[in-house]
Amino acid sequence: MNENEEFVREFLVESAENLDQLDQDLVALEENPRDPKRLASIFRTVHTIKGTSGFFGFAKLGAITHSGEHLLGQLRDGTIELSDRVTGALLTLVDAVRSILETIEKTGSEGDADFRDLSQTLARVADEAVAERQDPRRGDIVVTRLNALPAEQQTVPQTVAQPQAMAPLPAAAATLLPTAQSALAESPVVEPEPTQPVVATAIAQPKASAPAVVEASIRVDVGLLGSLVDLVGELVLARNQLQSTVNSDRPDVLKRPDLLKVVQRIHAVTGGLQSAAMKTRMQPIDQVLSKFPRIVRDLAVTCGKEVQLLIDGADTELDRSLIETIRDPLTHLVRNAVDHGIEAPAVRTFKGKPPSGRLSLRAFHESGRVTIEIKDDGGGIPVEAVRAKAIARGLIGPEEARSLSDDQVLQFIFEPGFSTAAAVTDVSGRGVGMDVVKTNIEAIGGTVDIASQRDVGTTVRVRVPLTLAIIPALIVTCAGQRFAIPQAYVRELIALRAGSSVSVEGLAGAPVMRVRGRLTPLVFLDALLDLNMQSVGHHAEHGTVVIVRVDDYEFGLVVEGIASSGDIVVKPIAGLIVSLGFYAGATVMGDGAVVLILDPRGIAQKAMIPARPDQEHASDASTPAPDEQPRYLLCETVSGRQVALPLEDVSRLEIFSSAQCEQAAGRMVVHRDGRLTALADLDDMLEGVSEKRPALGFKASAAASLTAVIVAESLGDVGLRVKRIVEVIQSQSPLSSVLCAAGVLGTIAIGGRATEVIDVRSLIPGKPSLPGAPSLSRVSA
Amino acid sequence: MSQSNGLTRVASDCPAPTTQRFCAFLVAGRVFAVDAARVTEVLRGQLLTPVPQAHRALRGLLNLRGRIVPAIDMRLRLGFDAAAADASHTNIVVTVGGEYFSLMVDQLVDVIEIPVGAIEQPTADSDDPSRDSVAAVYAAASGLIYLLDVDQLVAGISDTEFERKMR
Repeated sequence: MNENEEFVREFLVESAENLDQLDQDLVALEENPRDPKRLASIFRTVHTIKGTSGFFGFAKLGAITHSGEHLLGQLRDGTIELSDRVTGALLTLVDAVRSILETIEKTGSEGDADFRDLSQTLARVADEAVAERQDPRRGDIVVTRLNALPAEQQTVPQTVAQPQAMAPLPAAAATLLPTAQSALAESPVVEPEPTQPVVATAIAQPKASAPAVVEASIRVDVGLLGSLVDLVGELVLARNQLQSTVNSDRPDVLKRPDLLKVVQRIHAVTGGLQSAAMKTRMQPIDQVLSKFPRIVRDLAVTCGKEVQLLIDGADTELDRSLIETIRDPLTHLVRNAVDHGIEAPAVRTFKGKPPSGRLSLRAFHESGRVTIEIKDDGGGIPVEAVRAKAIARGLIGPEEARSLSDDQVLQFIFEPGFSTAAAVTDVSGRGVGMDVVKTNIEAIGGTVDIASQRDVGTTVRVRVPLTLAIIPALIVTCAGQRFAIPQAYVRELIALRAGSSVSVEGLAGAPVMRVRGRLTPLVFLDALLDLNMQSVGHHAEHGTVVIVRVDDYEFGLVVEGIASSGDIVVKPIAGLIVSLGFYAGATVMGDGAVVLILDPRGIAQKAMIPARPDQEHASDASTPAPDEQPRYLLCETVSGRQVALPLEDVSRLEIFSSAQCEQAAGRMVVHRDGRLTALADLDDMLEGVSEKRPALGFKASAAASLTAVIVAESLGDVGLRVKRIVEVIQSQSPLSSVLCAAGVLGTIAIGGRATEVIDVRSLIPGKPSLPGAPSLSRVSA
Repeated sequence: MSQSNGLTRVASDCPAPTTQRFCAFLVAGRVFAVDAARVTEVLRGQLLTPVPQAHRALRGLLNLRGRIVPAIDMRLRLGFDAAAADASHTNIVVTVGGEYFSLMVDQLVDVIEIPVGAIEQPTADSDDPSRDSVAAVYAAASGLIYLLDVDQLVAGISDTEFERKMR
């Protein structure tokens, strides 16, 4: 009995997934009605549900899926053409199946709902569609059926050779058997085949695909996964504490090299466990986006509109808990766009637009957050109507209203109940529940921005954080306290020294600094956070300026110094701390202490930093800046050669003391934030790649410290040793790839001098060493 | 069926029990208590990370096995003078709306059972600064125990130093 329940549960879960796929397939099929792969996939899904429902004795489910299958069979065979009516009927079928499955899930039985009407509708649609085509074509049916069957039989020989396939799959066999037989019975033209081989075919089909699916993924309880992640988090902290105890140079510990070895191993294993556990939380946003083709289609039909939906970046990953939170707000925004944004075809034609509107959904990672853009080419929001409404509702005075920019006026649609009145339709109806959208997104630390242009369209950008994600961050110190700044916002670091080439100037009372000719506003973190009572300008002679860029703001955050940099685990903080506006979250450091993560966006607003006047970035802040010219890190190798590295291949720059570096397994490694990074001399590597040998590692030099360029994480944990960093440049000159040696992408002109651009990717040997690979062990404490 | 006002009030939303468990603690020599059902654990002194610009009673964040928990200094929250810098304290971790908060108190007294009928409204003429979060009082044999509303304790610190300065 119990076993049967388990089968039913599995059937329900699988079918729910299949139905979602079916929704997508059907909508996609409308675009391309003759796509045989889609049709086959749809047919297969319905067939599976029908078969399984027969096995469990779900008669209603069996009956409607049978009718649906019949209709689909005709579609597949080309007997009928796909029309709106056919698609509509099939979508209704999907909904009916879904509702029956829900009832089964709740009550264990199919319930009392009557679906005979649906079966009849499906049959009628099929008949009418056939009738629409002329009689002579009826002959085709037989021909196509004749063609279809031999193909199935061809698979028989292979499958008979695997009789063991029968054992684990009695359910499938039992359910597919009658279907296979009835399929034969329905085709009178075909000679009766012995039943046995056909059964083997039916069994073999699941067998062929089953192993791959079974091995690739299993179902795990979400709660269990959550507690696993929590436990791993605790383990990481305990590991860090263990490590700092061991590293504290206590003589009793130093006498135990075996202990150090064990600690090192625990360290490595924990690191691997942590990153694996974190990955289990990440899921593609497709889970939300995949529902939209169906929603948009239904809505467009209801509203009498034509809408073309484009989805991009469905594989963008974010934390599962966030996926659930953004589902409703996104659905709301999409509904708004179709219902109120995109105009009816006649209106569009009148305006000179194509009759079919475009709605694009784009998801991408940006500055350590996920941005989801909902963009329509509809009528836009009539700003004047919003302005009038805001005045009418007493939100602003008439004078104030005139002084507000259009963008500022648009913000009113996020006011609670702003457009619930009759004026909704006048104001294009946008804003129904926009306050709810905003509240929900802000509750998870996200933002909602809206931009609209009359008759051109509306773009809504939802930005959500990757809570719980691990992000690279810079740990800075200020008045004795540590703070984290996400690396994604950090453009560069400038040390302030008395007499150095950079200097702090005052501009109308506000401190600014000239960075490469551009005046950059400065924010003194200690003053902003009221960390001590000393006057502003205290750091003018020393300290570090972190140049931060976020959205349209760029400013220098003045801190005392940089403590470290590394990956941090972002932990959520209480809402009342987020609402302070300075902090985005917190993290726990290796010593167990909590460190606040600064929110550069909030700081820019609190410090009243003006948005950057130039349009270079402001025009479309969320587009991943393809307009920007490539930036290079210019550095000098140990041999004195000047080379440029594409900045996108560089993760950070670090200076190591020779004490931090170790020789292990013939390679030079350095301990960096709890992981091992292989060090290589850039000269050696360039030489090595031309001689086709990898050159990771180099002979230890007598130098007390060495400068290394840590390559982008995707390339591996590798640091390239150089003599010194010259600067970061933005090259106007095109990359010329004439006459380039191995390991070199090409040359660019810098200051009239041709400089080689290094192909970092080609230098890193195939599979980079993982942190804590077994061959690496700690040699010294 | 019930005579006293207090009983009727409690009986309406909590039918069965005749006593309620409270977690009692000392702050500046007075006994306060919070609903024991809201308390998840009690910790000894913890390392705190200050949160600049937050309400002054929000003394900092502590790390509760990887969870970030704001700690509320109950002396400051209830309007008393700050404790001496070296004074020891105890953290009582409570849940408020799904989030965890730690109440920093001078000393934990005990978990006590209070007869629901004996819970009284606080006197209206009290000029005590802690009044905003005192939901009720109970006259124990040893003296008055102030019963605090945990939600109000947290809600009261949502305004910030920064906002106050800007005003």
